[in-house]
Amino acid sequence: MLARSKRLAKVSVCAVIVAFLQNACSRETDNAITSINSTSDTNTAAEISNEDRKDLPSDPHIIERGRRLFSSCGVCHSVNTSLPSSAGPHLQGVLGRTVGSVQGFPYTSVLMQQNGVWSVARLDQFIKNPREIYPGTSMAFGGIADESDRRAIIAYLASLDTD
Amino acid sequence: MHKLSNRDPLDRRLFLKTGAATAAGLALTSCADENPDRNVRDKDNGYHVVIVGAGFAGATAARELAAKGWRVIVLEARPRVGGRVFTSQFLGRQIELGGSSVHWVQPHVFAEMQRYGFGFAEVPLYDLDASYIMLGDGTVKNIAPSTFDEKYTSAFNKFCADSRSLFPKPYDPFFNETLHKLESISAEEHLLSLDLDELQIASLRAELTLYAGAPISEFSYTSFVKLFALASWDTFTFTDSEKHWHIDSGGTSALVQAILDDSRATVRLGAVVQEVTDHGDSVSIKLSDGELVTASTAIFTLPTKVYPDINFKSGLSKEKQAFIDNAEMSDGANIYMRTTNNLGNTFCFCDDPNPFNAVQTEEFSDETGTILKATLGRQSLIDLNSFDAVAAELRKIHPNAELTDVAPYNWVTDPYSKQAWPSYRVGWFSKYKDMAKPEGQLFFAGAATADGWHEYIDGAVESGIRAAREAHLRMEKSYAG
Ligand SMILES: Cc1cc2nc3c(=O)[nH]c(=O)nc-3n(C[C@H](O)[C@H](O)[C@H](O)COP(=O)(O)OP(=O)(O)OC[C@H]3O[C@@H](n4cnc5c(N)ncnc54)[C@H](O)[C@@H]3O)c2cc1C
Repeated sequence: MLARSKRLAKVSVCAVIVAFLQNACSRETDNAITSINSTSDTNTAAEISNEDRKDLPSDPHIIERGRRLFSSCGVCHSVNTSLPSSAGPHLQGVLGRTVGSVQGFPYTSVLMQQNGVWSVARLDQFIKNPREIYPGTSMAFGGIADESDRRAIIAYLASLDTD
Repeated sequence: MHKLSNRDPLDRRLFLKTGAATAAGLALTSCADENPDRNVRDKDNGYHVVIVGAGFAGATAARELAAKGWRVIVLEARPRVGGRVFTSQFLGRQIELGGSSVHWVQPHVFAEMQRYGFGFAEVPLYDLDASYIMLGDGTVKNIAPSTFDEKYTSAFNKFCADSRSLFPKPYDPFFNETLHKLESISAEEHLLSLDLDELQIASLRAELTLYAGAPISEFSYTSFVKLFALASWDTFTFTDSEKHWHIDSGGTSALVQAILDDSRATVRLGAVVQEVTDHGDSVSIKLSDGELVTASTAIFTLPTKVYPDINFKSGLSKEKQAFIDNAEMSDGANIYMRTTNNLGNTFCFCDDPNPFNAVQTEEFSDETGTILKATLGRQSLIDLNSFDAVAAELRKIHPNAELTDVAPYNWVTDPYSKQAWPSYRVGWFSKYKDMAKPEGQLFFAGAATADGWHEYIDGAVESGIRAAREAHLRMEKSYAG
């Protein structure tokens, strides 16, 4: 129990440091999330990741807020591939990942049939209202109405990739 | 990127290959036809029984039927087993986001715990440092725990005063026929007929709202009193059975998994049942991706509010359809919260229409702060996914609470439950048998169909045993003939 809490603390400290460094060398933007159509399904994962990430907040406080808000998601989703949850696919490296592609995870056919990549815009729409973008998803989540909360969560997830 | 088809059979071999970490995460079991120590009745590779839903009712039915030698497949829409129980992690702790409390007065679930070697984990409900009652208008009263206990217990005793005469045989709830005459009395009507003070009404209404999952003017009075009768007509035992004991080592989800593992049935996750055709001598079930699964019989264990999402090609009886359309209403949810400050061992009842009906300390220390669990009868009164809304609500009870982490689970927005625990609307208690009744080759289980603890895990297990017995007898007859 304690070990797990320490690990969480370590992850968040790393995330904060990385985010802080990013902040120092990149322009802090607070753009509204771009439309889902702006990141075409044909773009490569790497293109989507790079294009998207630069618009995400990198303020360590926002990322820390994202980490806290993520505890709602954390009941079903792990951010650690070696400690998977049975209820949802792990979210380590989710930005740029093909939708419905974690090996061995029993997705419903709706997500299995998708070919897109998880861009910031797509993730944002999914977290806002999962069943609007993918009707039939089994994600048992009503959605987060507050846009800044969603951005903080996505920024937190993005920060894990650079950990 | 390669996509694994979710139709790839994730059988025991893959299960072993994918390693312990994945094994812990992905709940899968092997096929009955690999089962060497059971007398599988025929070798034609077809399934005898398809069970829809891998909650307690489905898992129990699978185990019972496989033990009799029938070949069983369980189709589960979610990526995990357990249904309305879900053991998860919050800040490194085991938490129960759905059904959680169990007790030795609940005979079916207690027997399952005994069978698979599970014990009880205690929640600090007694020896409170502080107790509160929030009135309907949001005013919070800080009441000494002894006064709280005294007031609540006497109110509860009054509410359930007739339970012995109404339910002399709680497992045969309509044994006393006068019960039919009380069918139209709501919990609110009965509550207000008693001689209770403001705090007693507020605390009892909070408790009843939890069971109703709705305003208690809609809630069947007698259905609640039946639950009290099942707890040996005793208030202390009732409270102890509903709020004090969880399942240890892996919790409710691990117990469901143990039952399923024992069944050795084929379990398919992510398998959303969409259409059902009863051909008279077989049943075919169409999944959302178009695949057909066929068996001699089928057992449905769905939450009542989910039935309308499935197309029963030959329809369901009008009585069953009426139950599905009207009988249930639970708008409930759970949320765990952590505050940095140590609030001590506290309990709070909040009267309707405040969203958190019961807020209970689960853990407290100067090092951890406080882990609180709130249970909501009416989640639609608050946006549980708004951290700020949750923090504001908690601060009404604990003004100094420094909330840092939350873990909600909203069962109503979950497409595979659409409701929380079963609860009967006033006028519908006596109709639960309509829901339980077999129709053709289709059998029906699920906690809402239980004679006993229908709002509980225990009721789900009871119903799984009953439906499995019915399906077994039917198949014995047709295979003999
Ligand atoms: C918040 C909450 C708190 C509770 N507290 C307690 C408590 O403290 N103590 C207690 O004893 N009980 C409690 N309960 C009640 C208890 O959890 C339930 O009564 C019990 O788990 C119901 O089991 P079941 O098998 O009948 O239904 P479920 O567990 O709902 O199982 C039905 C299954 O069917 C699946 N399904 C749905 N649709 C489809 C489809 N189309 N295709 C395939 N599968 C499908 C579902 O995913 C699910 O797995 C609580 C419930 C909730 C929600």
